[in-house]
Amino acid sequence: MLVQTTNKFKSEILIKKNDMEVNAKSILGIMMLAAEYGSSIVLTVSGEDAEEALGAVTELFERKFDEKKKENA
Amino acid sequence: MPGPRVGKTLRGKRKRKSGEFAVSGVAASPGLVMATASVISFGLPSIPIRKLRRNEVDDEIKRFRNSLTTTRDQCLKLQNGLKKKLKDKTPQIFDAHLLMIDDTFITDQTISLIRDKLVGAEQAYSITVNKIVKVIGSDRNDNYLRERVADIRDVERRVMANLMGLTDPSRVDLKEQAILVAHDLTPSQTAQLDRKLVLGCATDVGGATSHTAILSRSLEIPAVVGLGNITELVDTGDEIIIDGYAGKVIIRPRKAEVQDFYFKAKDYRMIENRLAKLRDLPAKTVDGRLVELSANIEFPKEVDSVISHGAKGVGLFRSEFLYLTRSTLPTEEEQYQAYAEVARRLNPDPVIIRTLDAGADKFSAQFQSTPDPNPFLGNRAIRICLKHKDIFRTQLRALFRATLEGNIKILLPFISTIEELKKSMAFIRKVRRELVDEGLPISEKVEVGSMIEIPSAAMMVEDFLPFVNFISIGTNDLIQYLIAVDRGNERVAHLYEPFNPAVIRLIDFVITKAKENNKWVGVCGEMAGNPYSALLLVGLGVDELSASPTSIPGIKKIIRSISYSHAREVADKVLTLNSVGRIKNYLSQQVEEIDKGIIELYTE
Repeated sequence: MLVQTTNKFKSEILIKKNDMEVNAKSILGIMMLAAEYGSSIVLTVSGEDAEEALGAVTELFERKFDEKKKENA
Repeated sequence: MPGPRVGKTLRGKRKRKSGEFAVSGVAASPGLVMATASVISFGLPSIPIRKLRRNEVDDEIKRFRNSLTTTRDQCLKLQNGLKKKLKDKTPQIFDAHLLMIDDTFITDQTISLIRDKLVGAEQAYSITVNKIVKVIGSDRNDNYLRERVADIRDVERRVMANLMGLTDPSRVDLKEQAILVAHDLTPSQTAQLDRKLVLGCATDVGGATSHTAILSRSLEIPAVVGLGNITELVDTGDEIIIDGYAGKVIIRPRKAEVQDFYFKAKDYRMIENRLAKLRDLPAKTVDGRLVELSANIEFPKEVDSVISHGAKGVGLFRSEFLYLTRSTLPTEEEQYQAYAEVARRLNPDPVIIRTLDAGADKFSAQFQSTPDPNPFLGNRAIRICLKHKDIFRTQLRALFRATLEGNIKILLPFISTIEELKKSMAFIRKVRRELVDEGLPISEKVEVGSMIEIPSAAMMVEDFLPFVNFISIGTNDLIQYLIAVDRGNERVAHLYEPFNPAVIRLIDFVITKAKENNKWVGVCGEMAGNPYSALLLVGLGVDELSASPTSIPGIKKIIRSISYSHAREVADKVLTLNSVGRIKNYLSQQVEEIDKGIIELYTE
């Protein structure tokens, strides 16, 4: 879901947890972060549509990904 | 699959390039064979290792990108194919695949390995995937991530196949005769095995009732499974011996072992020849009780083996394999041909055909977009059929039409409640009426039975009986659901125990209830094919035993050597014992008195 959202934007979107930084457009990258619910991450967005991208991703986090179950990434 | 592999093996030992040694696993399919090994990784030849020249880098990257495009096209095509079949649901099954094919992380890493380390695309991609799987797959308890690892591996297989210019990644392609050594074989791979080329199978994972085992038995290919890390210990080209009786693999045998092999092979042949003489004799006890001895099969072509091993009919025709080796659902006509052929060739002996048992470990992907979190407790068999009535109807129509060709009976799998049973029976009556209304000729009387393979069904069997013509106890599933052991999980497979006293007492309960109500009761699990449990089951009063064709002669020998009254005494005694050890000891003493040769075939 996160990956589907980030891929709508041209900007580079990076997610950092502890010392590891991955491309938020990569489903495998995000899986490798192994970020569970409640862990803190740093989001870096750069590019022409950075504002919109940041807004969309933040909203997604605030809506808690509309997920109750862990079934649709 | 990633993570530690556990098995009764030389875990942790380094790969030896030379020198003989033996590895023990689970005896999955009888037979003794010595031949050259062919190690397959995920059904693909080994990865070519190349060092690129600088000027080849761009072409190699282009080749890699092309393989991704091809893979994407293949997945889209598969997805579209599924869409047409499942009208009520858009298949999401390849969504995760598609995301992974295009994943920037994996493509960037692979390309930089090609560019900086000058390795070939296959190797670069493999290194990248392994790195990712190592991190993602490290949490063994996370079901979600475990399934994604399976997705990644599946994508990897496809990309690799495309890079190497192979057509079907699930295909096992042998050029000459060999023993297949693999981590695991998928049911569709095993189903494709060419008996003329595959002389034996050895796999890292799996138990005696895994599908590799069941299929190897039905194809009469000697097999040992659950060997732990056989794929790491053996190289393609190594000479190996597979002992499918003792569950042993000897790698790079020395002269003494080779000699031993020839002696043993001669012994086995002698015992088998002796058993073969029983082929045309009835399975009757010395005091005259006839036990129906029939065979479990997967493919119509196995009828030859049913006849040559002296089985009377088929007690379990697993219909899944009509669905399994293909990407589209089988048509009514195709199914009719398969059922009619078996019924015709075995007529007048009965052929019990089990309706589709999809789900669990068998290809649920055709029916649902996301895998069940716990497939063995999930959407399976009759549960799927009652939801996808169109699929169920097609099969029932084919079955009814084939009833004119022989003695066909219908068996319903995975019934857990009386409501399910009534619903299924009502639908069967409805389909029957439809056929009659269309004026299609079908048999006057077609018997329908229920599998008893879920503990709840066993407990309720007395209430089930009025609705069915017969019952068949499926011991493989009954055991795993009763004692909570996943028979396919090599870490707990040793706990899977047919001689657990709870299993035996529950089976006794079911048989007793069936007999009190004058209903025919058969047993169609692996228990029916083991001499110890077969003796016990005969004593408990079953009407029929259905086992893989190769185990029929041994069972017939047991039945013909005992009296029913003695078998009953044995069963009564076993019902008083409360431990696996005592039960096995007692039964092995009893069988030993009957025939030593049979035990030698099954144990070391």
